[in-house]
Amino acid sequence: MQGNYQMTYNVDMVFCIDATGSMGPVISLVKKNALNFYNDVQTVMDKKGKVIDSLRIRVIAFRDYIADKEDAMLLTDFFELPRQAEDFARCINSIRAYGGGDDPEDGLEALGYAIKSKWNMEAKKKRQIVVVWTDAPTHQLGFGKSQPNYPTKMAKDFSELTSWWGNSQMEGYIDQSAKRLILFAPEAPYWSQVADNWENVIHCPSQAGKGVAEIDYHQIIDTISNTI
Amino acid sequence: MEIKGRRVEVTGMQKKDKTKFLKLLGPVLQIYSEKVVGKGEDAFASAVNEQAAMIGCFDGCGGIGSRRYSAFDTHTGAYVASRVTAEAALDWFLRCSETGDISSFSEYELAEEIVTALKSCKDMETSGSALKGSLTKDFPTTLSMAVTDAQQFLFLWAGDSRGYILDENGLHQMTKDDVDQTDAMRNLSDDGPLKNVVNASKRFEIHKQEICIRKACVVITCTDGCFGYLASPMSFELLLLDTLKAAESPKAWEALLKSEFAKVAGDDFTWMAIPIGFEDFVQVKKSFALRHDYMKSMHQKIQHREAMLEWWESYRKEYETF
Repeated sequence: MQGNYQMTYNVDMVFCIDATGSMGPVISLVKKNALNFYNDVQTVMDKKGKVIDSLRIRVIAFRDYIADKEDAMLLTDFFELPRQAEDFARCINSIRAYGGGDDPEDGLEALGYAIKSKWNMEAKKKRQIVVVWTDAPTHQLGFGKSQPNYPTKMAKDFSELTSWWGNSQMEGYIDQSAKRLILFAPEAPYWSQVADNWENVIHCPSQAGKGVAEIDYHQIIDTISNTI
Repeated sequence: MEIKGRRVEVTGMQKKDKTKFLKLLGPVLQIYSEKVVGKGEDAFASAVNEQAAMIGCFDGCGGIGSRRYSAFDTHTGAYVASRVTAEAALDWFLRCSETGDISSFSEYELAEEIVTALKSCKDMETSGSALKGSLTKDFPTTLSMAVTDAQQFLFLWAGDSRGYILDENGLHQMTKDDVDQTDAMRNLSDDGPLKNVVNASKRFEIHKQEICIRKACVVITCTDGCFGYLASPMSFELLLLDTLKAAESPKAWEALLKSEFAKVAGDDFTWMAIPIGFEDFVQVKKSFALRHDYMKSMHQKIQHREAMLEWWESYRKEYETF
């Protein structure tokens, strides 16, 4: 029989990494996890006989608009892997933990940028995966809007950010079927709301993934791989 | 937990002693295949007695059910769920069929039976997982079952495993996938998350569709590995008819279909079927010969995807009839 699907699997990932001072003790672990994450997904996919045709990763390092001014939000374009693997690794390894000011950071703005990424929309089967590593609660959206570099087109509140993520009634800026959010974040306001109310979320309540049991990490990788 | 499914059938009965129902029933056909041997997360169940027959396919959800359980030899929740649900469904059928009338079979009692079984699995696990969120569920699986007394047909389902009737007018999907939209053609490429699956931790619904058919047909249940990697619902029907035409016996049909599914499936696949109302397999083949020729000629005319989508719009009127 002719014309059956030869599935193409396109996977886009956006890594949001808290790069504030409090992350100092765990930043090496997070960087290691970020570098291994896509390899681990690829390995599980290979074992299942599924080949990813296109894999792209974007990095967002976030801090605090008020405390860190121009260093508050560092954004890259998508790296195409494996072609740009060295550039990607260099980018991850260049992240240093500093600044941050008060305890909460501007993680929701990072999530806003991630959701509005230029996703690959072409593949028959695709996944658009956002991974957040943080050890801190998050400010409410707009906390740092007094700063000149605060993005003018950012969601104005949590409700609008929720609509950017979308739901089955109203699609947001990320493909409703393809989206996945992996949250390595403490149980704290906003992060818990995201985990409890947004669709397609896995929340690993922890300090940026520190102390995540190996079995839980494998479950996360399997969850991603098995739904591609 | 090695068991993938169970078949319960009336045996040792002479044809003259068979009930009217059993005389109308063909053999239960079954295909099961694992993408990775020993790791398959599909399961099946079937039962036939003097009053009714049941076939069921269950597809453990490997994504949301990827947690491994030490109480079950570190098998995933998906692996355990499909098997436990298949067993519970079989028990439900055997209990209900003692009453004889399938219209009284309750989907709520089926859900209750399954929840009890899955919760007992959950209780056996002492080590907890820290993971939360909407993408994690305990022991999730799809379910697609068909129950029949040869006149009434009961389709029960949760998730995206499907039930079909194949008759002289073609293939009819009797279930609606639990995803955001129900266009079977679009669902082949959309691959959206399931909105409703059997599981041990969150509320779910088993849908029920009941119909009467008083003509010969083949009732089918299957997991998405069978139809989800084909170009269209029409390709699925043609695959069924192509292999039926080439087969000399029910066993040969199973073997040919399995071989064809294996060529395209990127997943485990399970397929069950019962021909109903035919004298024998020769009559099954004869009954679908014209339909096969029509589907074959239509497929040969399709040169590009736009033409296929156009055909789908007319084909779906009959495909979605029920």
